[in-house]
Amino acid sequence: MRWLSTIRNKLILHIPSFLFFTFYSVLSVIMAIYYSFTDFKGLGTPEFIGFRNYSRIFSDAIFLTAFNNTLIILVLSSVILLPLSFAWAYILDIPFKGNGLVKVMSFTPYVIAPIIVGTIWLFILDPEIGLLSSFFRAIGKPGWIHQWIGGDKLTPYSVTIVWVWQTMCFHSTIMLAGLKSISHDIYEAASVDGAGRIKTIFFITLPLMKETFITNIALQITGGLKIFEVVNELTGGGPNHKSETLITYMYSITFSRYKYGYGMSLSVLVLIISAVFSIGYIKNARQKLSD
Amino acid sequence: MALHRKRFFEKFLFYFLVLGIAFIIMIPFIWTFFLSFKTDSEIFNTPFALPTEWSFKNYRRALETINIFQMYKNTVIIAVSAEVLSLFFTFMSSFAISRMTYKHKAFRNGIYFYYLLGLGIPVYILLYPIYRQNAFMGLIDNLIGLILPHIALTIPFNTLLFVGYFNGFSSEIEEAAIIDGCGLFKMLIKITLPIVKPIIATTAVFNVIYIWNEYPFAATYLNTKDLFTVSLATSMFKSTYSRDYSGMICAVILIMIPELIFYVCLQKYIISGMTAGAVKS
Amino acid sequence: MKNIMLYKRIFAFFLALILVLSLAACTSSGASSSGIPSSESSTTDSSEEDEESAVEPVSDEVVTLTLWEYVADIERTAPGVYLCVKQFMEDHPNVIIDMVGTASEEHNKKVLLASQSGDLPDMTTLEWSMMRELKAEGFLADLTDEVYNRGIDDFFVPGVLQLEEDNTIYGLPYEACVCCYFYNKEIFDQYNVGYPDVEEWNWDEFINNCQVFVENGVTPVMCGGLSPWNIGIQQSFLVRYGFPDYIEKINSGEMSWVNDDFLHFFEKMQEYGEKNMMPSNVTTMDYFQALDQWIGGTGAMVSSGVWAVNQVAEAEFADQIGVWHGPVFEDGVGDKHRTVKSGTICYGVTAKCAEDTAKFNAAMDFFEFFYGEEGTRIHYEEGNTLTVTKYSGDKSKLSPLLQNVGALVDDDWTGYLLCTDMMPAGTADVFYDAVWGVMLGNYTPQQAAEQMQAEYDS
Repeated sequence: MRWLSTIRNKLILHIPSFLFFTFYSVLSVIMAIYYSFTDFKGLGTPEFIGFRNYSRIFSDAIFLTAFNNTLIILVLSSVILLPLSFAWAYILDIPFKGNGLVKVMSFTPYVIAPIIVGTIWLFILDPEIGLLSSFFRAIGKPGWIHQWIGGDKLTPYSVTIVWVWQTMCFHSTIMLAGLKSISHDIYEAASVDGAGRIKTIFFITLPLMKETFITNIALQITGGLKIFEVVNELTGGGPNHKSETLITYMYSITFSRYKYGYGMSLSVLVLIISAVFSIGYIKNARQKLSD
Repeated sequence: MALHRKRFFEKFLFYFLVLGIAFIIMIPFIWTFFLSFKTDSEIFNTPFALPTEWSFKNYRRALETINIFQMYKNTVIIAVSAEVLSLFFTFMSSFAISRMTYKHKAFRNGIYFYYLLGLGIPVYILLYPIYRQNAFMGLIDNLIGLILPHIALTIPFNTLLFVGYFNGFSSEIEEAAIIDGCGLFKMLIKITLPIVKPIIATTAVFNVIYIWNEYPFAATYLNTKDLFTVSLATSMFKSTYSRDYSGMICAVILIMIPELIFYVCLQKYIISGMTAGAVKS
Repeated sequence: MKNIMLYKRIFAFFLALILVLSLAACTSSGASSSGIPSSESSTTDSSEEDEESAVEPVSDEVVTLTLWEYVADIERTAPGVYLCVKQFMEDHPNVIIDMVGTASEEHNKKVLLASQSGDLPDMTTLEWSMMRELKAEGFLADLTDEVYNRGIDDFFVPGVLQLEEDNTIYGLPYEACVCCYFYNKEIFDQYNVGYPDVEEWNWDEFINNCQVFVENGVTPVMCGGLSPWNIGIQQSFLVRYGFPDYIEKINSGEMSWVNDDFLHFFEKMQEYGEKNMMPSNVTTMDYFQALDQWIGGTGAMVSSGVWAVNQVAEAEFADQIGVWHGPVFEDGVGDKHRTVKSGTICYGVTAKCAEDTAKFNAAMDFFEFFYGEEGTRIHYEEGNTLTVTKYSGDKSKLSPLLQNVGALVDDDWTGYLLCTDMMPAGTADVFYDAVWGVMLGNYTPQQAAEQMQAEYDS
């Protein structure tokens, strides 16, 4: 490969992506960072106020709630999502009649518009008229009914379930592509050696899927930190900001309360957290791989 | 005989389980489908009952309200041009990141993490600055004003997937091709591309779906009705004090169907790139 | 050698892509920059009309105005505006009004963004607080002289036209915003409860009489916490506690939110929640769901406003619907019969438009028509929309419900803007949070008032 690694070749390969990404994403982030040091309201001339926005964040009780909720959703969904989506990908990798149909069926949650996702899950989770509560009432256990959404505590957990439902097929599709990259020869060799299915999964498939797992975990971290639409449609961050997540809170600060400067400082913080976690994780995992 | 029966039972259990799970996952979609035949009052007062009347009234009203085919067309223009360019660019840059040798290793990691930074950018950071850039270039109310940012926005995701996939493969085959005197671009197209086919299909699916459903940019950067994308369809049924839920649900179904068809078409390509050791030489 | 071939191929590929892109550019820029403003084409027939007017030689110079509306589908969700614009263009062939509709949330963002890049349209709907911000930045035209010279002020129902602090007019109110309770007379009769507007309930009667419903498992008032703004009627309660009298002092810092009258208001809100006046799942219901459930027969009343007249008319008990301004307060401030009665939003004309005399005149011609007798008639009779202007037509031609609800607009209750429209932009959200917080028992009245004051202090 060294042969082809001329500067000219590298430039040809790198420049288009670099230009687009820098011009649109990075430049915008730089502008956002600039605004995060001002008191910009969306109108008028922004006034430079130094770190005041940032120092304010950590005494903002709603921000802490939002951070807490996001963390719950992130950790819980990671724990559930990864094994589940791997298992589902593994099943979809088995050739059986109707495989394509099952794939499409399980893909529907991902393409359904969030505005309806909210409404549908409202019908399921609503503590009063929802399907879940009606079910508990029907089996004679009304004591099991809680405020799944709209109450003080449980919303992040309910959001996690909706989130898992919505993104499982996203992760399993990526895992499926990873499974496809494993050569069949290896499986054949394993079965010749007399390894059972479970053993094959743990000692052959999973180790070979490390790169795929890195990808999925990185996507899960960054995606979970940015969770917005599900929460917005289910509870709107309410009641009284109790179910706010980082991005829903940032959204309401920026666009409902016109505190653009403060909103941008929140977004920059989300970006930093996300970068530290995802890049830190990838770097670490890669290092372990190459050792 | 016993073995046969056991086999059959296993198969039955497998189908029961898989179809059962798929069905449970799909319930909200089926429900949405039923809701699309109900009136607004039925939707909220008897959400679990079947529609009282199976008429296409809601769909007719939805199609009168929105010009869905114009919307399809606009969205396809945006999705295809952004998608093709983005895949092309990131395929090249990811190859360079994963495969090429650099004097300073830090450069490789630097540029890789530079792109990955983009994964964490909340889209609302970009809303105002990109508007400014578009206004500066005269691209407000113009589809190009959406195509170009979408290319940039899909780069981080594509880079993550591509580089991960490249890294999962050894470069043996490519090295062999180089030794045979193959040039860079010939090798990229003839050797590398077929290998990464599954991940290209995967990436294309998610990029297109992302662009298809992208709302904030489309809603803020487009003014002319003739340029509206499908993601704006549902907003046509909302006003401040009223909401036509049944029309909106019909629009949701109309938006979804092409996405599912697209997925059906592309998932066939998420197949093994290395077919039975054919490329082992 | 082979390399060159490949480079050529890649080059060709690029070329093809650029072609695709430029094609896309043509289709899109063709719509926005050509002389014929086909972009207005909300429907096919209106675009045909434009082409006709562009083809026919017109003696006067054609003036094109852009109008931004805060709904996405103008024809259906703002039929009054749509029909007025059509009629006006028919009467004035030399004026073309380009309507651009955007869903309300995005509309605000668009206005902000466009003001920053100098792309504001000629006329636009604006939230009152946003109008004041834009005025302060010099983006809006002063309409005072035009309004008085043309007599546009005479068209409005008394007290609706809003004067700014310096007695100028920058925003013309539009779409009647009178918050009210709709009540289902069938349910009231079933439990032998008298009608609130007939008996003119005060607060205590309101709460006490509604306990009959609570005891029988009927929700007294349907409303939706997922739509935080669904406390319009509560805002008219605050008006009855003196908000319009105090707001200037509060804005200037002379007076605190933590005062006896506002605390009384918040205490009442606490009682409202404690006495189960709202549905038990109010936090997971939005306004639209609440309204649809009420129309379906759930709940005795619904917290809404005159804008919902067309929707409630679809109820099976439509001829049994009563409307009510809400209770009066014995410990209120000033006249007991004061309420929110204004335009939901306002129209502003941009300073950019006013620079061009021909355009500005055309815009004011349009508003003169829009608010005048003919425009009001179109709103009432063809668009089924209530306006804040005087309707001089034959009221008996309107449906009884529309008459009843219309009476709320021009009865003798004194009208004010929504409280949130008198606050600085962005404060509304904090106010919603405070009121809901008290009603849901998450905040005490004291805490809520302090939260509001803290927002003003920052």
